[in-house]
Amino acid sequence: MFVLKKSKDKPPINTTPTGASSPSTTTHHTNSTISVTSSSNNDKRLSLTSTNLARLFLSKPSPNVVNHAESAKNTSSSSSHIPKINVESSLETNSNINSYNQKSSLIVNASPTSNSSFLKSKSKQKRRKHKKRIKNLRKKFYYPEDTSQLIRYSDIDFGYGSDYEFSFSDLPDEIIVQIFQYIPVVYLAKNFSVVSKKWSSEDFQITDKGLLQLAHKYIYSNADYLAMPPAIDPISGNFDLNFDYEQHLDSIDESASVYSSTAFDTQSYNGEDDENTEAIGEEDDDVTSTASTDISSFTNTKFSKAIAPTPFNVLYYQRNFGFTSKRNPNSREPNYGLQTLHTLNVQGCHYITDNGVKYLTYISQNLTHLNLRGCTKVNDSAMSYISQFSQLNYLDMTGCVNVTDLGVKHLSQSACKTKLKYLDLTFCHQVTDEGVRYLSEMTELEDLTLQCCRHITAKGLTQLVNSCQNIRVLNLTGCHLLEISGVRSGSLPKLEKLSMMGCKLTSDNCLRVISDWTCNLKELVLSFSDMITDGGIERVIINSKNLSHLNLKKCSNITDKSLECISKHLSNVVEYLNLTGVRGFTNGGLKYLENCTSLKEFVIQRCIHVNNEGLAHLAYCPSLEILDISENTLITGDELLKLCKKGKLKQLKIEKCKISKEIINTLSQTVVITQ
Amino acid sequence: MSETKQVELTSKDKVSFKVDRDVILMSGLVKDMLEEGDEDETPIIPIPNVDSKPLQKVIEYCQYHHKEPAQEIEKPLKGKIEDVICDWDKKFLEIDQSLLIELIMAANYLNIKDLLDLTCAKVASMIKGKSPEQIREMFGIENDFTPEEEAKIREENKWCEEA
Repeated sequence: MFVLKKSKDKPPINTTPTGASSPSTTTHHTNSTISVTSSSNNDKRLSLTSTNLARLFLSKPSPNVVNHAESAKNTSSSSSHIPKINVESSLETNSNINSYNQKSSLIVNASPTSNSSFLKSKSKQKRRKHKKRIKNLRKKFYYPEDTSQLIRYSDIDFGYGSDYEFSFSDLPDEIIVQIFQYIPVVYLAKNFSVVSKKWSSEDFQITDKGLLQLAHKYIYSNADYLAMPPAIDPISGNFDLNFDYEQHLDSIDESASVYSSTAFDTQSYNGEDDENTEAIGEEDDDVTSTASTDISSFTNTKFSKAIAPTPFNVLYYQRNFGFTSKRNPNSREPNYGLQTLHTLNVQGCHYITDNGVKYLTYISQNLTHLNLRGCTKVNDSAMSYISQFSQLNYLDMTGCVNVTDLGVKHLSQSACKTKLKYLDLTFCHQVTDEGVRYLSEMTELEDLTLQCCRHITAKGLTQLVNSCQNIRVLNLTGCHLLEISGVRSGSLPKLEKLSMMGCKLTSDNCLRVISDWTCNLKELVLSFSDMITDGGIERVIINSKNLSHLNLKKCSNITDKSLECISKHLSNVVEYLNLTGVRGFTNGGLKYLENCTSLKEFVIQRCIHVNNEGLAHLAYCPSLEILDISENTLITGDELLKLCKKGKLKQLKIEKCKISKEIINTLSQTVVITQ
Repeated sequence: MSETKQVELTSKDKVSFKVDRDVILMSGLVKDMLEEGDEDETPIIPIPNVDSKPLQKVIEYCQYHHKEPAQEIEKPLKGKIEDVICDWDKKFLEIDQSLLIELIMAANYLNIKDLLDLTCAKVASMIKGKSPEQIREMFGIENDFTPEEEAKIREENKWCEEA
């Protein structure tokens, strides 16, 4: 795997123009601080050939160039914070540093990846010359005949005494940006952007300008350059915009004391603040805002500065897809436009507006995957640009709260209308039934997420169900106005995964409708549907022979009967079962599970009627590997020990269980324990 | 090549450190410097930007990690840094703030990616939950916003404030 380290190939770019016109020491200084420190991957990132460089600078003043200049300025000014280290060293250490520095920029030019062979030979010559020079310099330097030289060298006063106390203010900008990469975007936007103008500036944010630069830079660079995964990963898939609706529902449930506000500081940043929770219960509250807090990652990078060859950071290498360059390796022509780019991930870049998307349409026609998660400023007009990507089949717009029905209309009239297979409109709560009507014109949709599009009703869904016959995955989590039983006719024969968490299923009729749609269901999430009963579940179970994943969390009207039904009809199929908080579920129900030969994961948090006696039955489940009995205080350690001895358990979750430390220690020898 | 070759590093305050060549090759800067040089003798490499104290820390780090490469740290950090790094690193980071910052700059200068990542992540972990005022104080930054501008920024970032 390539590790295209921080961007430091910018310095060469940056210095070339300035250096050519006025080879001043300062320029060299900037260069030295950056390129020397960066050198580790010289040979890999060299896609910019001198021709292209020349083109770049001959072309009309693109924002790029401007930015480089700025960056040069900035670096030098920032380095003055660091007590003169860089400046003085480069001034006084004779040519040593400069020579390294020349070397590293030289290597860049002589890159093995550069395509034009004549250039190669040219730079080889150059390189040889430089090598000689460097060698001479270094010899002198390594083996000084006159040792005083060395002493003189280290005698330099760097501008601060040895007792100097360093503080954060000494850190140069480029390092601050690196630090920022580790800070979740929520904090950056909330706390860091108000610190000062500099920190809130575009240099720390991904903006339209970044996308524009992307356009420019790509045009003048070799495609090979981009075929490598960038190592800095500020906006990659590392962060998760998945608002955990489940946790949200949990937190408004009065019995769920476990979750709640502590979640904020620990790991998930799910924004489950107490006050907010209250508000969410009310009709008017904005679920989306809670949701968008989940962009627990950071996107801002100092795009245009020395740290990264910036615009490239906008381009995201996605693990699953990657972008590949299909360019003819013999061709010397630079790649005009982003013809080869097919995957773009600008997740969490909330500074991008419709203008940014417009630039994109200039440069790429073949985009197939576009990830705009958390780009909260993307609006309807941006959607009209998006619809120009004729090959688009994957579009993730989670958290684009400004998109309305009009945006969906643009999409439905687009060139990609019949190409789009994956669409995620989570939290686009301005999308209503009318929007869903447009969606239903996109008949090739396979995976549709309308999570928290809370204005959708049965009317919209009826249209969808009657036209989009290819849907395999449908996520309606949190659409609480949706009265499924009101959906008339229609079917989704290919539907495999259905999530209706928090969908207010008012009666078993809803389940009847679902089971009429399809008999291929593999995964069904009905969490927090407290109106459904065993009868409804039975209907679904009998109808869905392949149901392997069933989540009945907090379906409080469910009793042991449903389990009996599962063991009767799905004993060889069901792999995952979640009965968290189902009060009607007792020891007797566990007995039925002995028949479920394929059950792998079983979650029974907060099942107050389950105790040791019931747990003993689980020892007979042949495939059970993961067991979650958190908050079941009636279960004791001894029983768990027995279970672990007999069964094949691999993971055990025992949060808030009353189990002694010794037993946990013993248990942890055989299974992975989560407390 | 049979014997372990050594390199001598000279810090800013003229303290010399003899280090195994393999160890110090973790530094991109030193690696580059050694790349084409003669390898017969112990080369002396001056590190004019780094004091002996941080340099010693750096060498300590390299000696441990040149055989056991550090695990990549998640970006962004979801919890505290202590949750994601190994015990040795935890102990390694038990240093005062001034040294930590010197260490960052040393790692940056010497181009040791893993160390830079580790120290940057440590700082990130330190400042993550802080208020803008606290951050300004830590970084010695003056608030150059007018109240109106600040309100505007806050408005723009409302999407996360409401959490």
